[in-house]
Amino acid sequence: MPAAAITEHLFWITSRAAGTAALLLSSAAVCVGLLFGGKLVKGRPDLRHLHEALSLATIVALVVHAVSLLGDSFLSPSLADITIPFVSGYQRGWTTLGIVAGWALIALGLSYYVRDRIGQQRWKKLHRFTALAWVAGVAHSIGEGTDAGTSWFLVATAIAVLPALALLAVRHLSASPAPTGATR
Amino acid sequence: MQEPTPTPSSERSAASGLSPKELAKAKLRARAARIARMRKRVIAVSLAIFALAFGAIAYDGSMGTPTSTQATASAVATVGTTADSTSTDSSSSEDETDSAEDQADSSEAQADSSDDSSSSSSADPSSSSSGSSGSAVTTRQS
Repeated sequence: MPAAAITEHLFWITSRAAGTAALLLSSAAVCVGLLFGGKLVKGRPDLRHLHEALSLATIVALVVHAVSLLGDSFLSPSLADITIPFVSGYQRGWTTLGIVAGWALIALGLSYYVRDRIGQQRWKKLHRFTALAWVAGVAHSIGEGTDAGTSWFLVATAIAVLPALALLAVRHLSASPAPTGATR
Repeated sequence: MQEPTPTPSSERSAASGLSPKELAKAKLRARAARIARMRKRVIAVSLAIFALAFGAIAYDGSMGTPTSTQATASAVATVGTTADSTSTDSSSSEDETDSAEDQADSSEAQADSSDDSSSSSSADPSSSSSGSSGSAVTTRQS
Protein backbone atom coordinates (compact mmCIF):
# COMPACT_ATOMS: atom_id res chain seq x y z
CA MET A 1 0.00 0.00 0.00
CA PRO A 2 1.45 3.40 -0.91
CA ALA A 3 2.29 5.86 1.84
CA ALA A 4 -0.41 8.24 0.67
CA ALA A 5 -3.06 5.57 1.09
CA ILE A 6 -1.75 4.75 4.58
CA THR A 7 -1.99 8.41 5.52
CA GLU A 8 -5.50 8.58 4.12
CA HIS A 9 -6.62 5.57 6.16
CA LEU A 10 -4.33 6.16 9.14
CA PHE A 11 -7.08 6.20 11.78
CA TRP A 12 -8.85 3.23 10.25
CA ILE A 13 -5.66 1.14 10.17
CA THR A 14 -4.76 2.30 13.68
CA SER A 15 -8.15 1.21 14.97
CA ARG A 16 -7.87 -2.20 13.34
CA ALA A 17 -4.33 -2.72 14.62
CA ALA A 18 -5.34 -1.68 18.14
CA GLY A 19 -8.33 -4.01 17.97
CA THR A 20 -6.06 -6.87 16.98
CA ALA A 21 -3.68 -6.00 19.82
CA ALA A 22 -6.59 -5.85 22.27
CA LEU A 23 -7.77 -9.28 21.14
CA LEU A 24 -4.34 -10.88 21.51
CA LEU A 25 -3.53 -9.16 24.82
CA SER A 26 -6.90 -9.98 26.36
CA SER A 27 -6.49 -13.60 25.30
CA ALA A 28 -3.09 -13.70 26.97
CA ALA A 29 -4.53 -12.05 30.09
CA VAL A 30 -7.32 -14.63 30.23
CA CYS A 31 -4.76 -17.43 29.83
CA VAL A 32 -2.57 -16.14 32.64
CA GLY A 33 -5.59 -15.44 34.85
CA LEU A 34 -6.91 -18.95 34.40
CA LEU A 35 -3.46 -20.42 35.04
CA PHE A 36 -2.99 -18.92 38.46
CA GLY A 37 -6.66 -18.47 39.37
CA GLY A 38 -7.43 -22.09 38.61
CA LYS A 39 -4.39 -23.20 40.58
CA LEU A 40 -2.99 -24.83 37.45
CA VAL A 41 0.34 -23.14 38.15
CA LYS A 42 1.47 -22.82 41.73
CA GLY A 43 4.32 -20.95 43.36
CA ARG A 44 4.43 -18.18 40.75
CA PRO A 45 3.21 -15.03 42.49
CA ASP A 46 4.51 -12.88 39.62
CA LEU A 47 1.78 -14.25 37.37
CA ARG A 48 -0.71 -12.02 39.15
CA HIS A 49 1.33 -8.97 38.16
CA LEU A 50 1.66 -10.27 34.60
CA HIS A 51 -2.12 -10.72 34.49
CA GLU A 52 -2.61 -7.17 35.76
CA ALA A 53 -0.14 -5.70 33.26
CA LEU A 54 -1.75 -7.58 30.35
CA SER A 55 -5.21 -6.45 31.47
CA LEU A 56 -4.15 -2.80 31.64
CA ALA A 57 -2.50 -3.09 28.22
CA THR A 58 -5.75 -4.56 26.89
CA ILE A 59 -7.73 -1.61 28.27
CA VAL A 60 -5.36 0.86 26.64
CA ALA A 61 -5.61 -1.00 23.32
CA LEU A 62 -9.42 -1.00 23.58
CA VAL A 63 -9.47 2.75 24.17
CA VAL A 64 -7.18 3.33 21.18
CA HIS A 65 -9.34 0.95 19.10
CA ALA A 66 -12.45 3.00 19.81
CA VAL A 67 -11.07 6.54 19.96
CA SER A 68 -9.09 6.28 16.72
CA LEU A 69 -12.35 5.52 14.90
CA LEU A 70 -13.42 9.08 15.70
CA GLY A 71 -10.73 10.32 13.31
CA ASP A 72 -11.79 8.11 10.42
CA SER A 73 -13.18 10.39 7.74
CA PHE A 74 -14.93 7.59 5.87
CA LEU A 75 -16.97 6.10 8.69
CA SER A 76 -16.93 9.34 10.73
CA PRO A 77 -18.76 7.95 13.75
CA SER A 78 -19.91 10.14 16.61
CA LEU A 79 -18.85 9.59 20.20
CA ALA A 80 -22.25 8.00 20.85
CA ASP A 81 -21.72 5.61 17.92
CA ILE A 82 -18.63 4.12 19.51
CA THR A 83 -19.72 4.18 23.14
CA ILE A 84 -23.45 3.49 23.28
CA PRO A 85 -24.87 0.15 22.11
CA PHE A 86 -27.42 0.12 19.28
CA VAL A 87 -26.64 3.71 18.22
CA SER A 88 -24.24 3.04 15.35
CA GLY A 89 -25.82 2.00 12.09
CA TYR A 90 -22.63 0.28 10.92
CA GLN A 91 -23.12 -3.46 11.40
CA ARG A 92 -25.29 -2.71 14.39
CA GLY A 93 -25.30 -6.18 15.94
CA TRP A 94 -21.55 -6.80 15.88
CA THR A 95 -20.75 -3.20 16.82
CA THR A 96 -23.10 -3.39 19.80
CA LEU A 97 -21.51 -6.67 20.88
CA GLY A 98 -18.08 -5.03 20.67
CA ILE A 99 -19.19 -1.98 22.66
CA VAL A 100 -20.76 -4.11 25.39
CA ALA A 101 -17.70 -6.37 25.52
CA GLY A 102 -15.37 -3.38 25.63
CA TRP A 103 -17.21 -1.65 28.46
CA ALA A 104 -17.46 -4.93 30.36
CA LEU A 105 -13.74 -5.63 29.99
CA ILE A 106 -12.84 -2.11 31.12
CA ALA A 107 -15.24 -2.12 34.08
CA LEU A 108 -14.38 -5.63 35.23
CA GLY A 109 -10.68 -5.00 34.79
CA LEU A 110 -10.65 -1.77 36.75
CA SER A 111 -12.90 -3.23 39.46
CA TYR A 112 -9.73 -4.93 40.75
CA TYR A 113 -8.68 -1.61 42.26
CA VAL A 114 -11.90 -1.21 44.23
CA ARG A 115 -12.24 -4.85 45.28
CA ASP A 116 -11.93 -3.92 48.93
CA ARG A 117 -15.06 -1.81 48.64
CA ILE A 118 -16.88 -4.44 46.63
CA GLY A 119 -15.82 -7.29 48.87
CA GLN A 120 -13.36 -10.00 47.89
CA GLN A 121 -15.89 -12.80 47.41
CA ARG A 122 -18.30 -10.61 45.48
CA TRP A 123 -15.46 -9.29 43.33
CA LYS A 124 -14.30 -12.84 42.57
CA LYS A 125 -17.79 -13.77 41.41
CA LEU A 126 -17.96 -10.59 39.35
CA HIS A 127 -14.53 -11.19 37.84
CA ARG A 128 -15.70 -14.48 36.34
CA PHE A 129 -17.82 -12.51 33.90
CA THR A 130 -14.59 -11.25 32.33
CA ALA A 131 -14.39 -14.53 30.45
CA LEU A 132 -17.85 -13.90 29.03
CA ALA A 133 -16.87 -10.38 27.96
CA TRP A 134 -13.73 -11.78 26.35
CA VAL A 135 -15.75 -14.36 24.40
CA ALA A 136 -18.04 -11.54 23.23
CA GLY A 137 -14.95 -9.59 22.14
CA VAL A 138 -13.67 -12.56 20.16
CA ALA A 139 -17.08 -12.90 18.49
CA HIS A 140 -17.03 -9.17 17.65
CA SER A 141 -13.55 -9.50 16.13
CA ILE A 142 -14.47 -12.42 13.94
CA GLY A 143 -18.00 -11.26 13.13
CA GLU A 144 -17.32 -7.63 12.33
CA GLY A 145 -13.57 -7.52 11.92
CA THR A 146 -12.39 -6.34 8.54
CA ASP A 147 -9.34 -8.59 8.88
CA ALA A 148 -11.31 -11.68 9.91
CA GLY A 149 -10.86 -13.07 6.42
CA THR A 150 -7.10 -12.65 6.29
CA SER A 151 -4.84 -15.57 7.06
CA TRP A 152 -2.43 -13.64 9.31
CA PHE A 153 -5.29 -12.53 11.55
CA LEU A 154 -6.83 -15.98 11.73
CA VAL A 155 -3.49 -17.61 12.57
CA ALA A 156 -2.69 -15.02 15.26
CA THR A 157 -6.19 -15.29 16.70
CA ALA A 158 -6.06 -19.08 16.76
CA ILE A 159 -2.68 -19.03 18.54
CA ALA A 160 -3.99 -16.66 21.19
CA VAL A 161 -7.62 -17.68 21.54
CA LEU A 162 -7.51 -21.48 21.38
CA PRO A 163 -5.28 -21.97 24.48
CA ALA A 164 -7.48 -19.56 26.43
CA LEU A 165 -10.60 -21.43 25.34
CA ALA A 166 -8.98 -24.75 26.32
CA LEU A 167 -8.05 -23.38 29.76
CA LEU A 168 -11.56 -22.00 30.16
CA ALA A 169 -12.99 -25.43 29.34
CA VAL A 170 -10.59 -27.09 31.82
CA ARG A 171 -11.60 -24.60 34.50
CA HIS A 172 -15.30 -25.22 34.00
CA LEU A 173 -14.92 -28.98 33.79
CA SER A 174 -12.74 -29.11 36.90
CA ALA A 175 -15.36 -27.20 38.87
CA SER A 176 -17.25 -30.35 39.74
CA PRO A 177 -20.98 -29.94 40.34
CA ALA A 178 -22.38 -30.56 43.80
CA PRO A 179 -23.49 -34.18 44.19
CA THR A 180 -27.23 -34.65 44.12
CA GLY A 181 -28.86 -35.48 47.43
CA ALA A 182 -25.79 -34.44 49.39
CA THR A 183 -26.45 -33.53 52.97
CA ARG A 184 -24.92 -30.59 54.72
CA MET B 1 14.38 -14.88 78.72
CA GLN B 2 15.07 -17.49 76.14
CA GLU B 3 17.51 -16.85 73.32
CA PRO B 4 15.93 -17.33 69.85
CA THR B 5 17.18 -20.41 68.11
CA PRO B 6 19.08 -19.64 64.92
CA THR B 7 17.03 -20.41 61.81
CA PRO B 8 18.53 -21.28 58.41
CA SER B 9 17.59 -17.86 57.05
CA SER B 10 19.17 -16.02 59.91
CA GLU B 11 22.26 -18.15 59.40
CA ARG B 12 22.30 -17.19 55.75
CA SER B 13 21.87 -13.53 56.55
CA ALA B 14 24.66 -13.80 59.04
CA ALA B 15 26.81 -15.43 56.39
CA SER B 16 26.07 -12.66 53.86
CA GLY B 17 26.49 -9.98 56.46
CA LEU B 18 22.87 -8.78 56.27
CA SER B 19 20.38 -8.56 59.05
CA PRO B 20 17.00 -10.27 58.47
CA LYS B 21 15.43 -6.85 58.04
CA GLU B 22 17.94 -5.84 55.37
CA LEU B 23 17.56 -9.19 53.68
CA ALA B 24 13.78 -8.74 53.56
CA LYS B 25 14.23 -5.27 52.09
CA ALA B 26 16.63 -6.61 49.49
CA LYS B 27 14.13 -9.32 48.55
CA LEU B 28 11.36 -6.74 48.23
CA ARG B 29 13.58 -4.55 46.07
CA ALA B 30 14.42 -7.49 43.83
CA ARG B 31 10.72 -8.36 43.55
CA ALA B 32 9.80 -4.78 42.68
CA ALA B 33 12.53 -4.71 40.04
CA ARG B 34 11.29 -8.01 38.62
CA ILE B 35 7.72 -6.69 38.41
CA ALA B 36 8.88 -3.42 36.81
CA ARG B 37 10.86 -5.44 34.26
CA MET B 38 7.80 -7.56 33.54
CA ARG B 39 5.62 -4.47 33.01
CA LYS B 40 8.16 -3.00 30.62
CA ARG B 41 8.18 -6.26 28.67
CA VAL B 42 4.39 -6.27 28.46
CA ILE B 43 4.45 -2.70 27.14
CA ALA B 44 7.13 -3.65 24.61
CA VAL B 45 5.20 -6.73 23.49
CA SER B 46 1.98 -4.68 23.22
CA LEU B 47 3.69 -2.08 21.04
CA ALA B 48 5.27 -4.84 18.94
CA ILE B 49 1.89 -6.51 18.40
CA PHE B 50 0.37 -3.18 17.43
CA ALA B 51 3.22 -2.39 15.04
CA LEU B 52 3.08 -5.85 13.46
CA ALA B 53 -0.69 -5.66 13.03
CA PHE B 54 -0.39 -2.16 11.57
CA GLY B 55 2.29 -3.38 9.17
CA ALA B 56 0.28 -6.43 8.16
CA ILE B 57 -2.84 -4.34 7.50
CA ALA B 58 -0.88 -1.71 5.57
CA TYR B 59 1.00 -4.37 3.57
CA ASP B 60 -2.18 -6.27 2.86
CA GLY B 61 -3.61 -3.04 1.50
CA SER B 62 -7.17 -4.10 2.00
CA MET B 63 -9.44 -1.54 3.55
CA GLY B 64 -12.06 -4.18 3.66
CA THR B 65 -12.70 -3.53 0.04
CA PRO B 66 -11.43 -2.08 -3.16
CA THR B 67 -9.61 1.24 -3.01
CA SER B 68 -11.34 4.45 -4.04
CA THR B 69 -9.87 4.28 -7.54
CA GLN B 70 -11.12 0.73 -7.97
CA ALA B 71 -14.49 1.70 -6.54
CA THR B 72 -14.79 4.51 -9.03
CA ALA B 73 -13.74 2.22 -11.84
CA SER B 74 -16.31 -0.37 -10.84
CA ALA B 75 -18.92 2.36 -10.54
CA VAL B 76 -18.07 3.52 -14.04
CA ALA B 77 -18.32 -0.05 -15.30
CA THR B 78 -21.67 -0.50 -13.62
CA VAL B 79 -22.87 2.81 -14.95
CA GLY B 80 -21.82 1.75 -18.41
CA THR B 81 -23.80 -1.46 -18.11
CA THR B 82 -26.82 0.34 -16.78
CA ALA B 83 -26.52 3.05 -19.37
CA ASP B 84 -26.85 0.42 -22.08
CA SER B 85 -30.16 -0.71 -20.72
CA THR B 86 -31.52 2.74 -19.94
CA SER B 87 -29.84 4.47 -22.91
CA THR B 88 -28.97 7.61 -20.95
CA ASP B 89 -25.30 8.37 -21.47
CA SER B 90 -25.44 11.62 -19.55
CA SER B 91 -26.12 9.81 -16.28
CA SER B 92 -22.64 8.30 -16.32
CA SER B 93 -20.79 11.44 -15.35
CA GLU B 94 -23.46 12.40 -12.84
CA ASP B 95 -23.25 9.06 -11.15
CA GLU B 96 -19.51 9.29 -10.88
CA THR B 97 -20.03 12.46 -8.92
CA ASP B 98 -22.74 10.75 -6.90
CA SER B 99 -20.42 7.92 -5.99
CA ALA B 100 -18.17 10.34 -4.18
CA GLU B 101 -21.10 12.00 -2.49
CA ASP B 102 -22.58 8.67 -1.54
CA GLN B 103 -19.58 7.92 0.63
CA ALA B 104 -21.06 9.99 3.41
CA ASP B 105 -24.27 7.99 3.29
CA SER B 106 -22.58 4.63 3.03
CA SER B 107 -22.90 3.76 6.70
CA GLU B 108 -26.63 4.38 6.50
CA ALA B 109 -26.85 2.22 3.45
CA GLN B 110 -25.07 -0.56 5.30
CA ALA B 111 -27.40 -0.18 8.24
CA ASP B 112 -30.30 -0.89 5.96
CA SER B 113 -28.95 -4.21 4.91
CA SER B 114 -26.30 -6.25 6.63
CA ASP B 115 -26.04 -8.37 3.52
CA ASP B 116 -24.79 -5.47 1.43
CA SER B 117 -21.24 -6.67 1.53
CA SER B 118 -22.11 -9.99 -0.03
CA SER B 119 -24.67 -8.68 -2.46
CA SER B 120 -22.64 -5.72 -3.65
CA SER B 121 -19.97 -7.88 -5.23
CA SER B 122 -22.47 -9.34 -7.65
CA ALA B 123 -23.55 -6.71 -10.08
CA ASP B 124 -27.29 -6.58 -10.27
CA PRO B 125 -28.30 -5.33 -13.67
CA SER B 126 -31.72 -4.30 -12.43
CA SER B 127 -30.34 -2.00 -9.77
CA SER B 128 -29.89 1.68 -10.43
CA SER B 129 -26.42 2.96 -11.25
CA SER B 130 -26.24 5.28 -8.28
CA GLY B 131 -27.26 2.42 -6.00
CA SER B 132 -24.55 0.22 -7.42
CA SER B 133 -21.85 2.81 -6.96
CA GLY B 134 -23.12 3.37 -3.43
CA SER B 135 -22.77 -0.30 -2.67
CA ALA B 136 -19.30 -0.44 -4.13
CA VAL B 137 -18.15 2.32 -1.85
CA THR B 138 -20.06 0.93 1.11
CA THR B 139 -18.12 -2.31 1.01
CA ARG B 140 -14.83 -0.45 1.43
CA GLN B 141 -14.92 -0.81 5.14
CA SER B 142 -17.25 -3.69 5.65
